[in-house]
Amino acid sequence: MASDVKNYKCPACGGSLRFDGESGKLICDYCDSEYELSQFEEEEIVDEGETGQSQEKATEFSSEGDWERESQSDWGSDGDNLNVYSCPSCGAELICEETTGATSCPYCGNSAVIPSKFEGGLKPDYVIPFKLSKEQAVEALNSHYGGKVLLPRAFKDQNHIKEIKGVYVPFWLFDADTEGEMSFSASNSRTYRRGDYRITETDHYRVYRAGDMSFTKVPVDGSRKMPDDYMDSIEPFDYSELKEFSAAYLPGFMADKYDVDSEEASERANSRCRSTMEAALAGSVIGYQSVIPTGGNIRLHKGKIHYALMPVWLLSTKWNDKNYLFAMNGQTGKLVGDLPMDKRSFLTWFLGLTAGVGAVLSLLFSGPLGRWLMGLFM
Amino acid sequence: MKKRVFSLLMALLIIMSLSVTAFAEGGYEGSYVIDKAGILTEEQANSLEAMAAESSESSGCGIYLVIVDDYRQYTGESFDGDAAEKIYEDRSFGLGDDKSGIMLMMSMDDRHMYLLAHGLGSIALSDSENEDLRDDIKKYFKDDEWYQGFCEYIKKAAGNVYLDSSRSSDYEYDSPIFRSYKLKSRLLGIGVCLVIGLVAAFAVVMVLRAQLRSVAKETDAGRYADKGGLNLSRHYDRFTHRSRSRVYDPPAKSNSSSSSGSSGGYSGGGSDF
Repeated sequence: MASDVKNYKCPACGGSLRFDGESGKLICDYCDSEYELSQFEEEEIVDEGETGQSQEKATEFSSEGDWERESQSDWGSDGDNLNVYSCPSCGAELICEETTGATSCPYCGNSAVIPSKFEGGLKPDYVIPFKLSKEQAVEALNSHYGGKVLLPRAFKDQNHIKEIKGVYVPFWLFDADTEGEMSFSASNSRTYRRGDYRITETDHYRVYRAGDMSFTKVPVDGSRKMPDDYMDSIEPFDYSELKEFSAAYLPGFMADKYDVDSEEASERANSRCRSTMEAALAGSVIGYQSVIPTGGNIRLHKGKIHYALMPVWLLSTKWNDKNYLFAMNGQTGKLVGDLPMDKRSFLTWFLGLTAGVGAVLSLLFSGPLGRWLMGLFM
Repeated sequence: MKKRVFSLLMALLIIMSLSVTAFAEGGYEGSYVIDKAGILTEEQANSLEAMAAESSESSGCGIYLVIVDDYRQYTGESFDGDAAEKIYEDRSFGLGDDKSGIMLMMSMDDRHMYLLAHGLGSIALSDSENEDLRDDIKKYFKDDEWYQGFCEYIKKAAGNVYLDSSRSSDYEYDSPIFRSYKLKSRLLGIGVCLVIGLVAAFAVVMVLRAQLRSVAKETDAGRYADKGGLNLSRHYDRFTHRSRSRVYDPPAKSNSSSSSGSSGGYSGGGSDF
């Protein structure tokens, strides 16, 4: 397994650098030095990691016999999805998932980028750098809890953030042109009285609409680990801040390479474009009381596909033995995540509101309302 | 001994049947219920009399029932309204200074009824309410369920008086029938208010519950559409045909023979049954 790890080191003190979203620079936590990304891209002041084989001086020592391993089994098929790297800072062996492109060493905290994951055809076209910090993500989560009366109080008080990580999630961005046509059966009715008859007249129309619509950069996440609904829910990203990809944005964060290829991801993009086109065509049929689609044909012309890394803060908490996941758009701060409901609060609110609203209405209206109803029934 | 007991029972039976026949022939004549046609049993007539008396005396609006074979023969009047007014006046019906009352006149031979109102009764029974009340009791009379129909008439007439009077604070009532109406209407009002409260509370808690859910799959890509959105290239709206459906729905017809107030402050309306 390869051990090609790139480590961004501080030219001043040799400490590990990390990308700071707020300043947009690489900073050293040890000596507080700050560096422009361009400086590193040009100068390539990086430390190409060693192979992890320490150059220890041999001390004379002899022993007899061989150590006997209890088990001779290897990773087997489990190892297919894992890679091993050596931390260029402390030499620790890092076992990562095959898709991991940037991580940090759990022993020394060193940020490590594995460039081979983003080289050649795998190199992302764009990256949106993290703009919001870990602290802002925690703050956003606390705000997310606020104002939700059915959230169990104990959840707010007792639950602790189990894990928080900033991840560059691989996204496919699809450009597509759609054209289509749809037919509708539409009608308008009017009713009038003639003599002893009530007459309903209905005018029927055949409505036809054809048109085209272009979409730019429809995002679909390319990571199987990321729940699709979470990634959909933190949209949109501000594409005006898309940067050309540079590995210099990655230190300090996790990064994955895609494991859902563009062909597979395109199905979701196609489906979204198709339903939007259908809704737009249907929405253009106005002035009728009833509109029923009778047929149609939507054609999708595939355009460009872009590969981008998007910043996402993932926060997980545990409460009552259940895990709760939250995702925050690392650029816009939009945070999503389902919360538990306090059933007792639900019932209390429901019964309380019923009694309260019922009592107020009864005090104000039960007399006249009752008489009116009695009059209707009598 | 057995023969004597049997003879005694037979004699008792004959006396009872004769007395019923005599009641039927002579009819019943109380203060509020007059049955000249003899269609009610004594028990029924007494029961209706008690109901009408209780409602009338506690409300200040008399509720009367007059049953005759033929109103023309009974009053000498040709028109039902005139006949009803004549009975009302001849019998000195009505309570209070304004002679308030509601009277149902039944003419059995021609199966016709007339509902007359005066004073507070006229206020309590508008023309449409008068017609509604007749329609309500007509369904009993069609099946010759006289007693049930008259009970319904007294209850509803009393109810109308209550409803009307409860809108103004000039009248105060204290009788079981009015208390029952008041209680029923209040309970009905509270019940409906609680149902409204229930629906409103459900809507609110569902909104509160929805606040806890923020994750959902996206199916739309509208925000990624280029400026201008849909570019319509071809479109038409073609009229194909007109369909027409016809439903026989005659305007609600009233069988009223008359329905207007007279100079004497009466109002009323008649129907066949």
